[in-house]
Amino acid sequence: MSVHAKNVWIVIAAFNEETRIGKTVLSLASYEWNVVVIDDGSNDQTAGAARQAGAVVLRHLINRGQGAALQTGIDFSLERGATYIVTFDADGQHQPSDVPLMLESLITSRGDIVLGSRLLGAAIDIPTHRRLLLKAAVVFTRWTTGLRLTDTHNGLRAMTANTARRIEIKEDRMAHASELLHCISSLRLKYIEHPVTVHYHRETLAKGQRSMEAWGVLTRLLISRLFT
Amino acid sequence: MNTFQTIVVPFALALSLTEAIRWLRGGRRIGVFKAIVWLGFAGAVYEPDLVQQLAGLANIGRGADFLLYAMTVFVLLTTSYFLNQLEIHRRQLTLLVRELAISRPQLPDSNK
Repeated sequence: MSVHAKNVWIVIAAFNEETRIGKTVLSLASYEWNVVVIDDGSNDQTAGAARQAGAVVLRHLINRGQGAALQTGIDFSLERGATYIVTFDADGQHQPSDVPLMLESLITSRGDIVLGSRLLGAAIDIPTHRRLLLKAAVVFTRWTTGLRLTDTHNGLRAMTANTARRIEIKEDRMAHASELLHCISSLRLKYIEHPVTVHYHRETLAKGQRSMEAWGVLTRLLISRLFT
Repeated sequence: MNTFQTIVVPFALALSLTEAIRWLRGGRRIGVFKAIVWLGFAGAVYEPDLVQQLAGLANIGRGADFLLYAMTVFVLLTTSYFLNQLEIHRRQLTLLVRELAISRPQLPDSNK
């Protein structure tokens, strides 16, 4: 692969992840990418754990949400001369080994953005209701954006710096994933889906997005359309 | 004028005048809206038939119904205004937090 590791920035948004962020950052260490963790106003030692594991840490003084944290990391990476930017979850659900394959896919296809798909790949121990919710989101996204995707809310994505400059995440919280897809559609970006593996386990399910939050995301999208 | 009118009408007129003066001195546009609301309130208290006449003009019938409809529209407009303001402040706050975060990156412990 022709990409130099130092041109790749991995952006991780983290909120109260002191028990897992270190392991996640260390799992990326062997690839020698730049890793930036955005501590989104955590009450615990997330920042310290990430620094200790080898990441650059940007600290939000107050919690602003995952979307806001990712945009902070993207802005920082662009300032530091990133060529490729990868968004990665803090909780250890994603596999670092998927990232080189996604970057390769991005380069060989000359695409703008590669979206990870757990439904093309593997979603290990995914609860049934979560799988149904993901499928509903696929239908909703196809209806609202016209994008034909198999997984609309996967946090593992790889994009070129040029794409990152064109996309601006304004949704601070979980609605950012839907907003990103709307950007891809409206900017007519070339996107590719790539199979990835996502591991679900009790801890991440307890802390992660709850199914009922889908209503919150819908409300946010409606408000942002009406009042901004 | 009865006692209620004697107290409320000058008070509402004074508030309307204050808002109008503030706006003329370069205040925010919302001042005009506030001045009109206070003026309308003073008018309605001073001359209750005014509301009845307005209701007649709008084909609503009773003055009380006219007030109810007017209040409904008012609540919808103010809710929309405040939601819009909330969105603006939310974005500004995020931009501020982001600027602070980017201006003070914390290097990995191994680089220290």
